[in-house]
Amino acid sequence: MVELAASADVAAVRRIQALHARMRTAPLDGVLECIPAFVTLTVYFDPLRLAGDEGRVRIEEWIAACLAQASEVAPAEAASPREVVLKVRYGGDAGPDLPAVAAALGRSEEDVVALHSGAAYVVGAVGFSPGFPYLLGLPTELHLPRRSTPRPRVPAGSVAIAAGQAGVYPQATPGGWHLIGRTQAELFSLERDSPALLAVGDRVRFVRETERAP
Amino acid sequence: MIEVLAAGAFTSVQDLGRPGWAAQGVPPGGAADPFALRVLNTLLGNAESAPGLECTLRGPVLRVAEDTVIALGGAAVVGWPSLRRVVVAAGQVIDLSTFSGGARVYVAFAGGLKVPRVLGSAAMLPRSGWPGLAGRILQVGDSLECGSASIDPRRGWAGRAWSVAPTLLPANLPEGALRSLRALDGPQAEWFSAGCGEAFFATEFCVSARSDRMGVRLEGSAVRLPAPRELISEGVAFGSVQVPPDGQPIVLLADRPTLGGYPKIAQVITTDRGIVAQARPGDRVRFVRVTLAEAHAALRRQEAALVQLRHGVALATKGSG
Repeated sequence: MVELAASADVAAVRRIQALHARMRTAPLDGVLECIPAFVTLTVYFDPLRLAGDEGRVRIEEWIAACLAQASEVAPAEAASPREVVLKVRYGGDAGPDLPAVAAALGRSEEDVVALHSGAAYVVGAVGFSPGFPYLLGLPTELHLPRRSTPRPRVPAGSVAIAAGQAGVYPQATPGGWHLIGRTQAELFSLERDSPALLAVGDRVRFVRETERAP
Repeated sequence: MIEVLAAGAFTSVQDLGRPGWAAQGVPPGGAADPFALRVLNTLLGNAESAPGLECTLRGPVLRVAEDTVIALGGAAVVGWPSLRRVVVAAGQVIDLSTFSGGARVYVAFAGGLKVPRVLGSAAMLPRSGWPGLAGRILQVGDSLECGSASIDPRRGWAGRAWSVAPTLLPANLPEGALRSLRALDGPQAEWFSAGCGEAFFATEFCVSARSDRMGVRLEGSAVRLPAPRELISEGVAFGSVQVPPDGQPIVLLADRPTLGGYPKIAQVITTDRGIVAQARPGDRVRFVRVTLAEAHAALRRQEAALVQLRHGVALATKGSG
């Protein structure tokens, strides 16, 4: 496991993103896959193909080389990360926790929506379930702990906040975050070559879906 | 064709999973006891990763429409031999409802199950919403097809009565036996006090009934950090031993989420995946600390045994053909 920072911020995510990109461009035989997440990149390898001290040295040298090259190319790549805009229907059936969230934060629902949709987010990690993005950049005014009781089933597309982060549930799964809205965007689709809509390092914005004309 | 007459408690199609998609949040999945499935597939001349059935705690009842060669392994099914080729005649019923010695029985079919793949694998992932048997467990009325087999069930040697030495699958243990899991220190082992680490390796834990394919949950004297400490979520592995705030460890299995935010005190070695995955609720478990070199040696021995089996099967097949 490579750990590049002590706290999860956008700078750390950019470095992890650059390292991961480099590793995919120059793979090492015997490495099975890598998981980037916030401040770490976990390397999974076949211990029979990269065995013992010799294998360990080869992996370490590969990581060091990728790190060196990543730090060279990082600024250019980081200058133009992908941005994805997600349309959200806030409150009501789509965001059943919006009133409780507003009450807990001592703000109006309108405030919560304005703060959530006004922020710029960066994907820090993808996990929990296929395609679930953990988003950094939630305004501190919206920080609150998880729900005391998780829901056994959160509808797919639910836009949620908890523990200082924002996220979107790609599938109907159990979940403990506060649901404030829903998006029609498919966060994970087998119809795409790369099924997850979002990858570590992508920028994300939420836009309030305008009322449909009658 | 194979007809499902009773589905069992939790029966799913599994192969060796779908590595390569973890960065997109897709659990690798696949057999919880992957070595058992590899042995059975090897016995049948299948690719090691051919899809078969994983049956948990209470297996299904199946009926085959034509002569079929199968192999059973993992836990031991009452009334059926383990770890050998078995010719099942057309119309015969395979009742897998009762088994012992483990939590999971695997059924491999000569030719492998023919099921649609998702992201390169037939492995069922719960709650994925994926189509067909990649998204759900088996149901009564399902019918399964086999691919083309390299074994002809009508040839005399197809079901010849030789079997794999049971020692190849050490995960099959009588109920209540103590399961020893060899483990390395985990990435956050040093977060725990030295005394706590020693206690962890000296303690016997009990397997909770809340265990599933995501993880085997253990109950015992709580393992606690000296002071609360937050871990930024990071990649986890098959066999990672997570310690949530309640101090009851969880050994992660095939359907683990790709990321985890709990400190990992230990890492069960690859060779012992089956021993933990076959633990039944109520079984006792303890961890035995080994070195990385010992872990690699154990893995090489296990892989060598599988290579030997493959050669043996090839020779036996050729000799009788």
